Amino acid sequence: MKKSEFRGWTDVFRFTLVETWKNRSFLIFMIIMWVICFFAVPVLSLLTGDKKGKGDEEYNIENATLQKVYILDELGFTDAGFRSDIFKEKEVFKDVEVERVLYVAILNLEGEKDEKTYKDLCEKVNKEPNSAIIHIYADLTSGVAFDVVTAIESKVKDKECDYIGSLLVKEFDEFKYKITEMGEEQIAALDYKYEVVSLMEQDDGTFISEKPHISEAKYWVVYAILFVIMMIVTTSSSQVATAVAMDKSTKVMEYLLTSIRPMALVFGKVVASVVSTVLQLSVSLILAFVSNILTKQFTGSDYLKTKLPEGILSNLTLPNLLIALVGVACGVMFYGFVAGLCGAMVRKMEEMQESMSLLVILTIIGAYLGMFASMTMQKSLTNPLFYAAMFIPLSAPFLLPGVCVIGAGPLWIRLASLAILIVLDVIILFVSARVYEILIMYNGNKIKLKDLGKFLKQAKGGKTA
Amino acid sequence: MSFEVRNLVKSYGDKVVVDHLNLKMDRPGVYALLGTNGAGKTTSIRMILGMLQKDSGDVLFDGKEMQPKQMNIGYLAEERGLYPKYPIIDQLLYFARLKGVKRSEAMKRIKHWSTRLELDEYLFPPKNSKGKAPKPKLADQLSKGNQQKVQLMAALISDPEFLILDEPMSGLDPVNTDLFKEVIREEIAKDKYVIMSSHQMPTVEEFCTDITILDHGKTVLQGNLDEIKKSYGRVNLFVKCEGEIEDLIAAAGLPIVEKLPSEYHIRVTGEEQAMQFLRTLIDTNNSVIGRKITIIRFELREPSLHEIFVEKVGGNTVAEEEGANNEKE
Repeated sequence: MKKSEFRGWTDVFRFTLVETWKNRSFLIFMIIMWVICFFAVPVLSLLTGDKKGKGDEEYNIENATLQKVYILDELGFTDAGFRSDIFKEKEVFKDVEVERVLYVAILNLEGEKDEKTYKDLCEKVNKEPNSAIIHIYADLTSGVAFDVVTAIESKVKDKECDYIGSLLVKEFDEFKYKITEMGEEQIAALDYKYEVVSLMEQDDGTFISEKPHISEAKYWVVYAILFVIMMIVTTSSSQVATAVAMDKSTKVMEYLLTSIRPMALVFGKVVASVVSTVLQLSVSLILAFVSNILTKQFTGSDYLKTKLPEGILSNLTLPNLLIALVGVACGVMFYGFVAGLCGAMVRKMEEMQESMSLLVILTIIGAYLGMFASMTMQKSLTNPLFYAAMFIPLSAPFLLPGVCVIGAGPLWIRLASLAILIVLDVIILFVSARVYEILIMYNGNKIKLKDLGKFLKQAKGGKTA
Repeated sequence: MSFEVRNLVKSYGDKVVVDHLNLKMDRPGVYALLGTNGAGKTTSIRMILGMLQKDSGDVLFDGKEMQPKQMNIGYLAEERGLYPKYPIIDQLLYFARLKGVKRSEAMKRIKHWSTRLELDEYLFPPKNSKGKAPKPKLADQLSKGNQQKVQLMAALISDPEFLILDEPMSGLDPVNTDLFKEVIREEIAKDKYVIMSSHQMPTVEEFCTDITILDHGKTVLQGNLDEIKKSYGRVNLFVKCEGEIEDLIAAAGLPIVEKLPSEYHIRVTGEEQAMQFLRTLIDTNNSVIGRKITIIRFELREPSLHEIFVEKVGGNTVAEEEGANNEKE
């Protein structure tokens, strides 16, 4: 392939990119997508009511209406050192009167717990609108419960109760470690990430993982990335096919080919489509992250962090990231060239859908192979389907980026997969260069899939249709 | 400098669509490539432009293999093409860029041609009453004739040294036809090499010095137009008289090529036969009592290009149409 084959592709690239972004329907779609990305985090955060990690200032209580608190500790934690009146350490609650209520476990004749003490206390609180009960008890379904109870007509605000509740939960977390008499280091060690690995001893005495596999959380990451790439491939390849078909059906091709080779024309369109889609996706991701940061400022909750499994991206090193990005680009280009062929088969825009069948079939085969392979990765990373999907160029573009992000399997598999993709891209570029020459000027009978073989043979022989 | 096509051949399967085409232009001028639909004109043009790979033969410019992608060639294709939903100005800038014309220079040339071809109101519309520039016009908002003007602009925007015009005047109204003719004349005056393909024979006669007529891909007639005409001789006689003369034409044994409402187009063997018929008309008027023949027009001339064309390929028109369909397949 000569350098002159590509002369002028930058002009095609620039024009296609600019006109794509000027297109009104494309812009509307983009803006909708970006608005969704920007507002998804705060809306979801609001809907799910996630208050985890809410800071003191978030309760924003200037003057407490609470004046008296009755503490009913059925479990006796207070006697063991649990600070059930921890809220008094806060400035806003420092003047609140605290009364510890003695709890005596009495069973009635049927062997059920006597609720008399609690009921008496409730009646008392009903008469005192500025009081509340801290009720600590064991619940069969939720474990230890800390209820902050007020009367229906109480003057005590809900957020005061929420604040006291959150302080008690935090105190209880510390209390658990204290009563075990563990040191600070031991307590810190409880937060370490852990992983269970089965090891198999080899002849030389070293150990290897018996069956390396990925967790369910990592599977979902691979699956999500696969899905996003499928969207990118579908969007960008249909853009390429439409652009080539439009050149041909509007006869603009006749004019363009006086200046440039068909290869430069399709290459420029494929690259424009890749850049356009990647840009689209990047802006969407950046907006989602910015939105998450802004939401965190207001709610104190890092929504994405709470939803993503901890340590899921720990293997996302720079080499892995680069392999993933180049893999995505190669994959999109591979499908872009196939789309270019489909577009070149079209005589009129009405035939577009039919001509796209080759692309649709290949995309479905590739994506499904990738999906099945990612499912088997939960069982083992040494299964044949995983290797096949990594090395078959149809599925590799969908699977490789996800595998790189979670860092699954040995590095050589990822590198080999990428190398195969690059080699295939060069080959398809070479073959396309000849087939486009034939197809782009072809206006004869409708081309069927089986005819493509004939054209490929002619291209190999250097003949034209 | 010269332009030459030597033994150009192109086949689709077993069908030879261009069969050893030869043509030569020793100096700038206009060369006509003629033929019925499907005769192989567009295929020849595409091979000259390097869009289609030739099976054999040479296309030479200045004695060397012509490199169309590295030359400054303007092409007005028979099948007009513009992106219907893209602004016209963007498309013209794109085409100029592909030809290596810088943006600022391209804008100057667009402005020039827009004024020359009376397209300013579409390409540079005036600001509205609020001082706002209106939205740029899209190609599908233009009439067919105006779209054709835009395409002529695209062909001329790089100020090409070599121009190929495939049916430049088709579908134009008389006013725009004259405008196109003026522009083409200006380009010819700049000493450019022009290849023109057209079915409008009067237009070809107006511009071209040399012609090639193709029939089923084969060259059936080629050479200097004036010499070709001379070789046919003055065999067309046009007679317009007051009074019926059909019986006199029949008596003289002259074949009628065409009978118009008040005129006859008669085929004669030469000047002598024509003069003899003229004498017959005068004698009849003078000697036959009660028969008055007033001669209004008596013209003897060479055959037109139209007549030559029809004579050369006319009988094959139906077959050629079929050929055109086959070529497409």
